[in-house]
Parts: sequence; C-alpha cells; structure tokens
Amino acid sequence: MKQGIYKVPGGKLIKILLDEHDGKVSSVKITGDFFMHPEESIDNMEAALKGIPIDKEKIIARLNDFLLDNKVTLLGADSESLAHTIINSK
Amino acid sequence: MKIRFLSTKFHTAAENMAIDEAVLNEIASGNSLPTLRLYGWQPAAISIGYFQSLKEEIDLEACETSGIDYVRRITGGGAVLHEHEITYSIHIPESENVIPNGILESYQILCGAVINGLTLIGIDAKFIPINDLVVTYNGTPQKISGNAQTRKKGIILQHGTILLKVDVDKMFSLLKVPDEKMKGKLINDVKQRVTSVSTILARDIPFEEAHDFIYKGFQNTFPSFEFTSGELTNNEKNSIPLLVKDKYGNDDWNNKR
Repeated sequence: MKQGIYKVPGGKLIKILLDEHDGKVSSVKITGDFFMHPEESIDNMEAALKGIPIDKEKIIARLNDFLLDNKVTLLGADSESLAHTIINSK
Repeated sequence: MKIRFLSTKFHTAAENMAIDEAVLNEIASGNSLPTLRLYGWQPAAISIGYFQSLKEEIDLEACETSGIDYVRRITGGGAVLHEHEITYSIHIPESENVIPNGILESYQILCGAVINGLTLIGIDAKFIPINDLVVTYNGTPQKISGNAQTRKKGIILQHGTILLKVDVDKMFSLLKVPDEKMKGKLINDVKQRVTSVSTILARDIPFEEAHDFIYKGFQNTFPSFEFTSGELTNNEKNSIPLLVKDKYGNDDWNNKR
C-alpha cells in the first residue's frame, strides 16, 4: 500500500491510499477535507480509477470524464491535484 | 419565506447530526418549514467531514480518556472540535429560490449572516472561500468559523461552528497529525491562524449571548425571511433515535472511510 498526501495550493488536503499492480491502480482510497457534490460520488470515483495506469495525464482525463459524466462538483481539490497525489504516493 | 427557528440547546454528537438529518427529511417531505437551528454539543465532540478517515484524523483513545465524543458529518470539510462554540444549521429548499444555485456563492451568502452576527458584538470577520470566516488579529487573518454545506433531496443544508473559545493544544491532543515530528511546529502554526470570540473581545462569551447575536445576524441578513420560534415536530422527534442507532451512533457510519 502506498500513501500520498498533498495540500492543494489555496485548497484542501488530499490523502491517498494506493494499491497498485503492474503500474496500474488496483484500488485507491481518497480521503481529505475537500468537498464533493453529491458526496456519495466518492465511491464511484474511486471505482472509476480501477485499472488505470499510474500516469498523470491518463488519471486526469479519467477523473475529468467521471466528473463531467456524473455532474460531480469538487471544491478544494480537482482532477490535477488528485492525480498529483496519486502518482506521488510512496 | 416563512422559516422556523429551532433552539435545540445541547445534545450529543450523534443526536445533533440526527436532528439535522431529521429536519432535512421533514422539510423535503413538505411537512416542515425551512429551518434555522442553533445548538451546542454535550459532551464536547469532534465532528469529521464525510471524506475524512476517522482513524486517521482522530486519536480515539485520547478522546475516550478525555470524555470527548466524535461523529462523522454528512458534509465534507475538516475535523472540528465542538467545545466552547455555537453551531448553526440552516435548511432551505432550493425551490424557494432565495439562495444561489452555485455552491461557492451560496457559502458566501449564508456565511454573511454569521459575519453580520459577529458585527453586532464588534467583531469584523471576512469570508474566505470556500468555507471560512477569518478575523484579522495581531495583523494576521485568523479563522473564527468553519462551515460546510450539502444539498440533499432538494434541500440546502449548511452548518457551521463559531469558536467562542479555542484551546489549540487540547485540539491536537485529540487529533492525529500526518507527521508526528512536525507536530510542535504545526501546533504553533495553527495557534497563529485560529482565534475565537473570547480572544478578540478579551472576555468570556456565554453560549446564550452567542445564541442571541447569531440569530440576529440571520434575521438582519435575510429581512424577507419571517422567523418564528418553533419546536421539532413529532415526526422529527420520532426519527431521531433510529438515526442515532443506525447511523450517527453506529460504527458502520462513523468508520465508513
């Protein structure tokens, strides 16, 4: 299990627990003091990252698709900062 | 818009969150009016945001030893120690069209009521997006209020705390920090960035006095709202024990993440 933590400049704190295999996300747990609307989307967002290569641009794209498709609003964090935290997990 | 004013005084953490949800549900059902509620926490408790990990944020043993309770909120945001403070919650249907659709704008409008209330006792607070109120004290902006909002069943629920007194050392004795080695520095850092009503006014502010100026703050900020003091309805009262048992007082919910 890898861990990541990142204070988004001008935003909130993101914490990541990452299980990876073969350079891909097996599972990810995203916690922190940010806001997401609707709140329950977090589980689906974590699920949406399953199998994605640990690659910043790919993760950003996957998250952006998720946010758009599901009309989810993130406050205090964004796709870029989430991806940053994931790829910098150790 | 007619709005009910609920003064529920002091309850446990689980009961407080259950009351907020019971009220939201009844308003969504059309059986209760939009509501402003003011309340306190007995025993003192830490509430964590929906997206936080309970075990990572709170030292559960330290809370147990100190008699401090804890609960997970349905709103995002961070960990808050509800001790010497007053909490408000405001519940307004989106269909009333009195609060902006945009979440950031709505935070600003609703927090404006707390700012107004603080003005009444001579404190000049400013809104810092997303959800903070700060006062410039000793030349630096220091946080005096944290707020969190959710929208469920077409109801805007925003709740927030106004710090009447703050003990940063006590806070940190109950919380976990990412880096234990940096704890001392972090505590000193936070001491410069958090303040309270009693620090600024150099006198103790009782709950009842805060109750008064926060209520007035909402009344002043929303002159088109007709506030009437009310009680919890029977439906609301009856749903509270179940919400405590199955949700807010339950490990399944509090340990969710």
